Amino acid sequence: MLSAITYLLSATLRMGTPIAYTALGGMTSERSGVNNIGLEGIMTASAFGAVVGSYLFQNPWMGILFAILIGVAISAVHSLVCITWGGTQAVSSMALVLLSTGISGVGLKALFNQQGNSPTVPNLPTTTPLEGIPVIGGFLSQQSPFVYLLLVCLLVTWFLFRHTRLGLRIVTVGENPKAAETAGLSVHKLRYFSVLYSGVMGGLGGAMLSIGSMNMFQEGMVAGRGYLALGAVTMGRWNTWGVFGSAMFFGFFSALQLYLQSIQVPIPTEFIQMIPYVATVVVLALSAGKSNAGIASGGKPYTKFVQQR
Amino acid sequence: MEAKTTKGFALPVDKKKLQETGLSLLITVIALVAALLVGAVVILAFGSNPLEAYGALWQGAFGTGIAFTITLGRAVPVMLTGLAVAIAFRCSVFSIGAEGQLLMGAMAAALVGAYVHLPMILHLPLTILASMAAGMAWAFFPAVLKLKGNVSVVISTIMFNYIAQYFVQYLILGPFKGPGESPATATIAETAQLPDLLPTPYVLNLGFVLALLAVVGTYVLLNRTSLGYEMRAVGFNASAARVNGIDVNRNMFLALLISGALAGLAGGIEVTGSLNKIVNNFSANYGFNGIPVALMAHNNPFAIIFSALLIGAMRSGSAMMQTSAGISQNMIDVIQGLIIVFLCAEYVIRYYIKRGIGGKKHA
Amino acid sequence: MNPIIQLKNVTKIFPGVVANDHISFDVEKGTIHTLAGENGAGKSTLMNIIYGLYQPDEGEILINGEPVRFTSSRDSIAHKIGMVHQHFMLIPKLTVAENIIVGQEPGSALMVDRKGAEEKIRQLSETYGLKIDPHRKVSELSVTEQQRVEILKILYREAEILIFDEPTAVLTPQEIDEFCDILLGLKAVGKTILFISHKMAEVMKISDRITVIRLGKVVGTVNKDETTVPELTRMMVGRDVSLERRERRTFTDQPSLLELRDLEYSVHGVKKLSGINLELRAGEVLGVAGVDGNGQEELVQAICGQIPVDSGQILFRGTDITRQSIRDRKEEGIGLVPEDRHKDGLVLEYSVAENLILGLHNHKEFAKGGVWLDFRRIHKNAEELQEAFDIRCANVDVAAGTLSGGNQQKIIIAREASRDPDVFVAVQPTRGLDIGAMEFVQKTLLEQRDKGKGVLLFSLELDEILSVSDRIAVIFKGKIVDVVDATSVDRQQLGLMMLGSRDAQQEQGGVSVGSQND
Repeated sequence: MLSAITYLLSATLRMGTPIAYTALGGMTSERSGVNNIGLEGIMTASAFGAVVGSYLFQNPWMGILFAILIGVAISAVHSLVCITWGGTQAVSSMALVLLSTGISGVGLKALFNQQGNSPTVPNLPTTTPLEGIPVIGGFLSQQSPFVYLLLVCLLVTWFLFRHTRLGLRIVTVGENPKAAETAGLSVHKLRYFSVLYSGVMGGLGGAMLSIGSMNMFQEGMVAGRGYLALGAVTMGRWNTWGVFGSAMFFGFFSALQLYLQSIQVPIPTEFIQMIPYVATVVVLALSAGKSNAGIASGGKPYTKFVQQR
Repeated sequence: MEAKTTKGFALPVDKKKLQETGLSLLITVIALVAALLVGAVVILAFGSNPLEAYGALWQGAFGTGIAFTITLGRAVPVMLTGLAVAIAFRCSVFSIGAEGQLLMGAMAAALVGAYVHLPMILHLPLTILASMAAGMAWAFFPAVLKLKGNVSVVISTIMFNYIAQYFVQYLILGPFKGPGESPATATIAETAQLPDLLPTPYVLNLGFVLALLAVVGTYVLLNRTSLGYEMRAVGFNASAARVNGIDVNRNMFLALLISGALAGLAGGIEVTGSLNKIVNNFSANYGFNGIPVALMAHNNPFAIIFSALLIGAMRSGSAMMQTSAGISQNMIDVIQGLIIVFLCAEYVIRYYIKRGIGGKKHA
Repeated sequence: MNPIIQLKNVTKIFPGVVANDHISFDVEKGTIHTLAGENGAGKSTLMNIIYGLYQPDEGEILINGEPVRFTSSRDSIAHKIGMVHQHFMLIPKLTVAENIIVGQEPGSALMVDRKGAEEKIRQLSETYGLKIDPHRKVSELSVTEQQRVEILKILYREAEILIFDEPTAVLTPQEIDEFCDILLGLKAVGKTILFISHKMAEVMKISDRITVIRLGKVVGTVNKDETTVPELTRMMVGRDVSLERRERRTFTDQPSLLELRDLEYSVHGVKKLSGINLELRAGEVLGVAGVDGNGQEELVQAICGQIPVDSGQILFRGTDITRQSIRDRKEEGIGLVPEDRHKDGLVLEYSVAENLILGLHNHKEFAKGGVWLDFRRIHKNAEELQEAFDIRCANVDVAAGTLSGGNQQKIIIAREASRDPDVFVAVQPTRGLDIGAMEFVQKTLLEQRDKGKGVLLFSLELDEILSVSDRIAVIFKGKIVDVVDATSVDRQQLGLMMLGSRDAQQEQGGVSVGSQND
């Protein structure tokens, strides 16, 4: 029984962490008024980038750096398209997904001459320095450093919106870009920052998948987690703690899926694998309809190229 | 004047509309060229020769008569998923569910094709209709969730894609696994197989004609009927549509269902036309390819024929690109992504054309 | 002579329109300078240029004698210019303090000093007599309080030049008086004020100088003391305007067309409509007057079926239509000219002909069997209406979005009139139109009345209400304060009633506000 709980807790952290990173980024981007449905793509490309970095330098921390850079690069495309050009955000997001899947496939072949998955690379599965802590040291050290880095990111994001100028300005831009402009703020700069921030976080989320919980890149390994993260943003009502909690909630369903598979319940695996997706739909259906407390300017471009209606 | 007014409207060909059509075409061409150029840079960056790669892509798609018929065949599913995306888009719903609906449509066709025994004249239409019904049914859930629970169609359709994927996988590996080792359903009866249009070695079946009929049908629905008038009104301005007595939800609901039926049909034609059974992971993104197909065509049904041919050509040529130029087939995903990116510059291109600066290039 | 702002040949061209055509005038330091002109004359564009939101295509702006080129409002703020926009630039979710400081937050980059900000705001609001609690959320504030926040926002930025874009549009006559006092107070401490308005009374009350623009051009700049209202009006409109009232009708013996009984409607526990009782009879124009946001929008939506009322009844020619759909009510005979023609009235991408059948598109007349569109008939219908309503367009196949505002409004009116409805609901039907189009719209409404229809006119312009209506209902906080004969009231009385005072008619003279009866 205890082992089941530890297993679920540990697996929830492992499965929830990449979703939480990405969701925090998605929340920031959405609060500035730019929806980023392409987080799935950012995660895919960064998961691949992390493997490349870790492989080239034989150092997983370089993998993280690569993942962040790739995440920023892909989200920069989204920024350019949605903020400067005024393109449709959902459409641009699908471009990111195609681009990212494509690039990682092309990269796999070009760099490793492999298809489907990469060779194994150095990874970050555990945090050994924490072993010394009494009683729970064993458990803590079994978690990836990504889990602890997430706590840092969580606090940073919370602080950003709670206390800083930047946070207040991002909220203003998201709620009413025109008001932000008349207050002397640059709508574009603030939105660029927010979308690029989602790239950094999506990059970390992707890296966690390939060099945190695994030690290689596999095609399709993101498996919709970018979309689950979006669901977490909605369910968490654009509030840092709410979003984090929702992400972990989705992480729990993934953990449950792993657990049920491991104890071999007499249910076909495919149905167990559906759990996170079904849970997302159900949860959104239960939570989304009640209020429309979204971001006022969410999804609407603000550029001279598009006439405002 | 008199003659112009009566005739001129029935066949809406006036200068403004022609200009607009030309502009849309120009934007698509600019996006395509820009995507190929940036794609070339990507190919270079990964250490291959872009000319060689594009050459092989062209050769693979159009090099021989057989290759050309394969391209036409590959265009069929993306033409239908393109229509599926477009009709929802015209009603301002962005559905990404074509992939899952296509899978469910294919599954229904495979089951009806294999386990129902009827003469061809009944069996084939029934199989095709079953695929459409299954696609429609799979669109039904996101549609209801949107109307009743205000759940984003983008997210719910994606979730249903994954659910469909696992569900179909379960059916293929479990209860409906066909004879033999491979993970696939049983082969469908010959009475459920679409007849070929051309003699061997050419490969083209009746599915191509069905897809063209779907194009015409979609056009007629959107532009010639009062339902299409409503759907487009909702797509352009839902608020005005509502205030003037149009039921916005009903139209979005119908658009999603029709979209699902078209995507299901794509799956049905794949099964009855070429595969004759479902193998695991057979679709490989036909559903997602519908998005660039629809966007390149600016959601115009007739233009979708051409954008589908283009994407179909990429899909059929990509194998040769991989073998002879050493660049992964996935390169066509990159190119499609880039096409969408540059199509998103539509407003910028229009802006500069309007200001007469014309070709001023974006960063 | 000490001009703080000098405009020299400022020109701004939007695709297809010259919004500002070589505008030149000077503003003296420490004065209230009014920019007057009709809707669409180019006043707001010019102010947005001075504030740096738009860049002029030609011409020069000098601030304190120095030529400036603003690329964003950041530059104008640096030159101590502040602007209160017609539509408030506030974030309802944030507090008063947050709204005021955003962009110039005190404290360090890492930590906004909220305490300090609130302190500073308290000081400012005391200095200028603009009472407000910095802690409150903007979503909880009334319109006048929101306006105070906007003013504090620019004072917080230490603006010396204050631009007000139609600030009185959302206020009652009494609130306008208070507002004028605020402006005079700001002038007294040496601020320069650029004031936009087309309401003559307030213009004459507070201005030092007045510049009139029409169709993007300066007609002239005059000193207040050397001009008169008729002269200003003539400058604005380009000809003499008589605001004489039409003869009224008696209608008590006419049948009732629309009857509202005890309508109640609330959103999230906030009452939007409470106990609405109203009757519209055949052959009358019933004007609904009130300050913006007192339930007019909800009342229109309730009548047209766009929102479900919580309780009460809506009777149309005696039959209960309370639960009928939007479409059914239209079919029954309720026509609507909506407030926002771009949002609710038209599909701008559709052609004129297509817009003229919006809502009629599945009638047998235009669609065979209700399904197949009959383009020949759609076209014929369009050409007939184009002629009857004088819709100016190259042909009926051009997109409605390419037409001028007046012609777009004519499309809507033509469409609604072509349905021959018994009840014509018109919401702000002349907003943003030039005088010609405005007269056409009002004439059409009166024609409907003369044909024995009932017209329900919602307007924020008291002049329009007074000159077109036979009876006037005043709405305040979701309640009908009173229904009066249009001939028996004047602006002052209506103004008091718009603040909820039912006894306004007896109270003659309207001393002070405060008798709000709820």
